[in-house]
Amino acid sequence: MTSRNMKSGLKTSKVGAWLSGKGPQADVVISSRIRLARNVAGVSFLPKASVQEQKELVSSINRTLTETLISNGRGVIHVEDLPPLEAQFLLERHLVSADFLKGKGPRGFFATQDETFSLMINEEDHLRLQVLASGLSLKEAFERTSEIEERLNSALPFAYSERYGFLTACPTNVGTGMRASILIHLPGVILTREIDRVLRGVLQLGLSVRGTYGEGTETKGHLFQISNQRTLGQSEEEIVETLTGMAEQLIRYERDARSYLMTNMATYIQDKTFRSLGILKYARALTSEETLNLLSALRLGLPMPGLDVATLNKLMILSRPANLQLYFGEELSPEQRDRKRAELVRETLKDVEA
Amino acid sequence: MLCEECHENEAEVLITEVDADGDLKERHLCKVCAAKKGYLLDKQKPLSEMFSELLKELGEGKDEELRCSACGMSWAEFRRLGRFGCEKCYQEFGNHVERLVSHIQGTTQHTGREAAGDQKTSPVFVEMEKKRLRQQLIKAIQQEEYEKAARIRDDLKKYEERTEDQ
Repeated sequence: MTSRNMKSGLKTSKVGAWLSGKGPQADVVISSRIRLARNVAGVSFLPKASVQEQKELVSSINRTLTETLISNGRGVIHVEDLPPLEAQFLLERHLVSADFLKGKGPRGFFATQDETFSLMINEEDHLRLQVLASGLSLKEAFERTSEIEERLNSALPFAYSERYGFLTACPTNVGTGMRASILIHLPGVILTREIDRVLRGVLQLGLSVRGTYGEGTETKGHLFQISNQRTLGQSEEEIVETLTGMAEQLIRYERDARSYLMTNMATYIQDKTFRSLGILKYARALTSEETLNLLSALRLGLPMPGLDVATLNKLMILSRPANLQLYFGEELSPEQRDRKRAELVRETLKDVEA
Repeated sequence: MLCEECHENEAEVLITEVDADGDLKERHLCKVCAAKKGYLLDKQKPLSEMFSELLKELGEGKDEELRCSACGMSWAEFRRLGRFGCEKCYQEFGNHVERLVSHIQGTTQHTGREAAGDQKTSPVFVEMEKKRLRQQLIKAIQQEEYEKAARIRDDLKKYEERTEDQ
């Protein structure tokens, strides 16, 4: 299986540009994401839409997309025809949701080559747009989303009321239909036991936090996803500002904690980082979870000669089961995967020096 | 390994922290003790959970048979699914929706961006409306609701004239 055979046209050996590590503060905030939910006016929402209507939604949104936004002619793909491995690949790349893959009727998917813009047709709403960007770039991501939405709206009417804003199948999304989120790495704050206080502040601002820490091993959950809880009563700009402000504060806490650790516990941190590097560089079999944990420990050790954020981000995605199999172009048993995963990691990190 | 706190459950969580003396300490805890000590982030009820609890409470026992005239969804069905059947449901279940939205969102007034002002004149929309009206027209005639059919025919005419103008 090579990239040529991918129905989505996505490259199996490259990851999305939003993982480039080039965005602002990308060593702490891995990525920013804006998601918009929209429904086409005059067409039943999915619980009441007939199969015929769902089919027509896929084709009319596809037509609008190709007419207003993309010029290369490649439109949406039909999710129901997607090989299971490629469907899983898209999930691991954060381009589709698990619920979307579990769905049954006609569904459409589209993503740009660089994976920074994607959409799902007939997920919970007719249309879900997503823009992903590297680092703390919510404002830029929102501006791009907004431009895309306006272009689509110039040809496609959306269900809207003066009072409730954009109407969504679930009232938890009504209004702006927008969910803004960041993926942030906070090992320093956790190690210095400040996490509780810090996260309480996040919740007080009406933001929601996902991700646990300490679960399984201590490094696994050093990543948190923080997003707006409410979608109504605030403008999109206000939502973006609140979340950006909170992210900046979290970055400061994290940097303070790291410098405290490096001043007072340098040996511990270095030991941890280099042990992780040792395993990653020389192991002959690695499970998916172990790899993620070790990569997280390495991230705390940055900057390190020969290693950058982009490499860590890339391994984080390519080491996942479906991505790994498509990367090597063959279906693999779990044992074979662990061996191939170790091979990929070893090859990628061969020039990194402790 | 057993949890260092309760010595009963299997330890599943490894906590590393800086103690009061500035030393690093590692502790193996079970999930229950870790949560009790505030190490696991489960203090916040997820929105989805809050929402399903609300659905149970709101409008229980009454108006179960209330139906949206556009898509046919009943209030009971909505409470089971947590998803509306169409955009009209927001009006048709008026007070229920208002209470629900106000509970979840803390407000009932949108202040964000608006839909494009001219979106209802777009060719895609006009085509869809015409199709919908034609289907309604057939249904009205089949059910011998001639007054309704006449109204639909007039609406349809307006759309068709508009398309010819362009």
